[in-house]
Amino acid sequence: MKKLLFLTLLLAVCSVLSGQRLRIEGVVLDAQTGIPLPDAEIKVNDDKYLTDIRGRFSFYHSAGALTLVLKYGGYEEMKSDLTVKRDTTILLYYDKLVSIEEVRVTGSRKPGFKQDANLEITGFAPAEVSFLPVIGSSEDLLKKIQYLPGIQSGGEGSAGLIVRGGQYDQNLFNLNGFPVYQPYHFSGLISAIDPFMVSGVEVMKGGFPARYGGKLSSVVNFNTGRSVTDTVLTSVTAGLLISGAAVTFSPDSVTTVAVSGRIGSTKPLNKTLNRNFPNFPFFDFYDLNLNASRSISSKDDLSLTLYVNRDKLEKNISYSELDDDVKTLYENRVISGWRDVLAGISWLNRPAANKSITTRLFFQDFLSESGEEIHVTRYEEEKQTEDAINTSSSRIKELGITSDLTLKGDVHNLEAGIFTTMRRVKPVIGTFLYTNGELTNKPTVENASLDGFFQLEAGAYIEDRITLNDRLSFRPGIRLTILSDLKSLYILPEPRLLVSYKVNKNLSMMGAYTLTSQSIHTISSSNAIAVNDIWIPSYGKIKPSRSQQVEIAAFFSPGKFFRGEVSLFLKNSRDLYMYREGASFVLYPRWEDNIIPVTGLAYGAEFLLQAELHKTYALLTYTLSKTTRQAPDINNGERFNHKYDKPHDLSLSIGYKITQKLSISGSFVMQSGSVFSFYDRIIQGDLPYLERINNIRFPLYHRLDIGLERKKSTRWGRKTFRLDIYNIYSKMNPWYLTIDNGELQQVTLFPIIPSVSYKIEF
Amino acid sequence: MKTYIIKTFIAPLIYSGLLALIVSCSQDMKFSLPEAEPLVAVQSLIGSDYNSKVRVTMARGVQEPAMQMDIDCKVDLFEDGLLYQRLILDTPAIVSGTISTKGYLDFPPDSSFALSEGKEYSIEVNYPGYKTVTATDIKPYTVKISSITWRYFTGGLPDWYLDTPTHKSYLAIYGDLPPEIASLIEYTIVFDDIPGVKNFYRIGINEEFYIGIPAPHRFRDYRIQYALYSDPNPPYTAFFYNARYYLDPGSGSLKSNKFAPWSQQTTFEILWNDNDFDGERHSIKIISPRPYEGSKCIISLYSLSKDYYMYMIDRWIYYKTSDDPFAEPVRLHSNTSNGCGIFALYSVDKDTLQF
Repeated sequence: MKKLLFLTLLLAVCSVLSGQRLRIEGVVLDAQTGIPLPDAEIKVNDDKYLTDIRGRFSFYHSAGALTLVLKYGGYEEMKSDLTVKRDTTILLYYDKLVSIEEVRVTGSRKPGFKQDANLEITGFAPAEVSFLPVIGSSEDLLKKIQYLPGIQSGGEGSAGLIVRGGQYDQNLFNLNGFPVYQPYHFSGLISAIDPFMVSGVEVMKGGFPARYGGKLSSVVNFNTGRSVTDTVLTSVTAGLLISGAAVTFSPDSVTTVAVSGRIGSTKPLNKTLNRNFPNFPFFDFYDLNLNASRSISSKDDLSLTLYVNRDKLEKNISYSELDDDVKTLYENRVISGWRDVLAGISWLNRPAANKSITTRLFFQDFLSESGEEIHVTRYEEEKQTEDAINTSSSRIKELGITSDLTLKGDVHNLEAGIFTTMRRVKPVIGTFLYTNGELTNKPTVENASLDGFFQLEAGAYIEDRITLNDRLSFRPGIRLTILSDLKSLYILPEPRLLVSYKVNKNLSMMGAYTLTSQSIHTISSSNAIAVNDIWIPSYGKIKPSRSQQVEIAAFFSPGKFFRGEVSLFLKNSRDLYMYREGASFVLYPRWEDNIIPVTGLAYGAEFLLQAELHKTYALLTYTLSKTTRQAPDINNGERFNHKYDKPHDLSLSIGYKITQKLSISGSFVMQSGSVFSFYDRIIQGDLPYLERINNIRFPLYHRLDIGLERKKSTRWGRKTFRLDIYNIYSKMNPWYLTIDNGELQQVTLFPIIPSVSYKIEF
Repeated sequence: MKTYIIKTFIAPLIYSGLLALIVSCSQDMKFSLPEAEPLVAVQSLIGSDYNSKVRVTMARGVQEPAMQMDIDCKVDLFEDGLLYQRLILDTPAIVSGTISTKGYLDFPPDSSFALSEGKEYSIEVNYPGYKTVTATDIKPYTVKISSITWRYFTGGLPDWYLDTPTHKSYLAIYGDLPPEIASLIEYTIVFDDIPGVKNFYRIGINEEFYIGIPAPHRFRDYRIQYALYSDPNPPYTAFFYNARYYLDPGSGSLKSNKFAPWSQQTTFEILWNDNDFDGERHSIKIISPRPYEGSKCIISLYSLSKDYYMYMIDRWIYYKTSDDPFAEPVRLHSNTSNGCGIFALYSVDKDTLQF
């Protein structure tokens, strides 16, 4: 058995003695990568503490000598004797000689998803789920999140996460505490946040703490915290869809820099999909992640986060032909894509060991656009031009500042904060026609709101996590948001309550109530292939969306090798916005006339079971749910299935380490087909007839993915080769229907897709 | 010109360009929809006009062949819950035997058909093999035209007007005129909205004129399409008007005109409601091509039931967006049970102008 060298570094000594009880806190880190190690056991006398998903631990102890015993998986217990005289923060490192893979091989690092000490949080470190197969052989955090029950993708070709009957715009993605609008590429196919940069991911589907707001359905935290290291860690990856490089280093003893850059294209899919795909709109994309942190004093840390995400599709077609004996040039340009730029700086101040204040300032510029330009030039005696620019775009610029106070104690853990965000939102949708350069459809365009809208969102929150005893804790809180566009004002109180109870060491229960609001919405087409989604702000009569959710959950570990979770939830929402029936934007740019508020109802049960049996890891999740929408002017006022309603969603993933270097994994996904509206009847001699909105459900969706991973350590680092096969039996899951020569044809987006990637770390 | 470019050139290119991207993904796999059970459909807009009828047809799956109709279908009309009349099938329309190959069954009103305003009417359609289809509506009160004035002028017509089939057929008959210098007439129609109730309206203009051929076809009854200046995008109904009759000058009555070359028209008539003028005197200005000297114009102000209005609004939305493959779907308003379609009532007041 490899020996572990146990390094203890006294980082900071803070505050004054608090009586006879001192607060001891710290982080257990992998010495080679600086990645925090969760679930390591810290033993002090007879007390045991587990590190959380960030590798952190804390406990109280009297002044004087103490012995820390670190136990990590099957390794020997390592001891370190300390003398503490005041509140102390320590870092515990593993020796560089012990590689990550060796730790993994022993199974000591538990794979899979973990419940935080706060039960509303499900967390994981990228390395813990890296073995699961993924399209394109690129490690992808968002795809891993979709393994969780209650969370699904919007479907093949659709963006983002759909959480408990929500929509993809209802997720709060935080990168080091800064909100990010677009954390993915290619409509959700690939995450735009390099797993190399992320030490831990936290996912919340409900029971949101009061410090989180602005979105209805979920909170996803990507934390890139890294510690000072005396080595330079470099990673270079070449993959089918995405390639990149990343490096982390510490230029001095108080500064850490991590930077990652990746470029990619979905063009290689053209080779693997089908030769009939020559015109498919493939994207080129790149992302840049930077995180730099510096301790400017024993009590203060500064960190800088920079995030750039760009997707771009551009396709140009031109040809000439005679039209009424006049030479005519046709030029067609299709554009699509988005750009998200975030720059944020945070200041962490720790005036006392149990008190911290984090202040964040950020700026974000988000642009989403898609459309088509047609330019026609007729070479008559005088050249005549006709241009049509069909576009749907959204531009959001926002400047925000937040300040969060954390005050920890034995019984009360208080969190409070204030926040302000100024935002300008500019949605544009419609067709603009020009004749010889002059706008000709001015009567319709001039009524459109093309200048954008200003929005101010400010407020405060406070909550207290009250630990009554070892079993019972409460977390009451309230968040108050004031929203204004300078003409209208909304005051949005959001009470939150979470109760957790530890029945025994193998069973914990949680119940939560949350009220959330959202002031910026995505209006999404019900048509699977339409690209006219836009972001609109709440202003005037367009109210902020509100959502109430109650849930109860049980977390159990029926045996040494099993962990499980069962949840029930009920969520109702109002003032969600949809396009009205018959909404069309080809020639009419007033989106305000084409949207209506709807209510939403979602309820369901979620089940998760993880098993860790020596070399095998298995994850089984199942969700039984129902998601509907209702509005007076849609579907004759009757409730109808939401486009993301998938009553059954099952996934089974198994990873098996064949040898210490080689592992294989497979994931089987099966879920109800998507719903959509289709005029499936015709009234003879008259009109097509639609019995109800979203009347057709596609057949059951299923696929099997497999992955093979081979890791090899060398003197200079590690090499990782991945082979993944997405949809190995090439199930032609329908994505969209089209009519060709009077016959219905299905469009399948992703048949079998093999992919490889190669990564070296040194 | 602008409309021509948009409709015939720009918009199709946009559609085809975007669709080409997607259709290219096709795996050439046929797709079978879940079987859609046929539904008995009622298409009935009932007033006092000769076009009123109860039409019974089927809503069948789009992948299914057209269905022949069993003529053993019974349609009963009830007034305030009491049987008012069993409607008689338009038997001359049936070719022979027990089925109709036309795909529908028409039940026109007979001469005694006189529905009362403010009363509730319902129909029961018993079609062999299907549950009884029912629908109910209330006949709205007639809103009287207070006055009609008009003026001649020269000007242009709105874009949407120029692109409708009615306009195009009009041009086919009478020749094209530059729309900017078209000779037009503006009618100002004044009426008093009934207070306290929701009222819905539509206006129709029939022009009867002499066409210079021997009797009995000397006079034509022609439905005129009109437009508004005040609204560039008004909701309108695509009104299928059968000009199957002509006004016989001798008797002054309408007679069948089976030889009229333009016997069926699609006329676009504006829909609106009293949201902004409930209980007030209201005037509406509409424009149309100037009537011929010596002709008569019959202006009809239709009071529609809410079901009628909602159904027509949905139809308007559907027609407007049916060429756009990316438009949101439209579910047509229906007030039937155990089937689909519409049974809706209207009342009408008419005024005649001699030019």
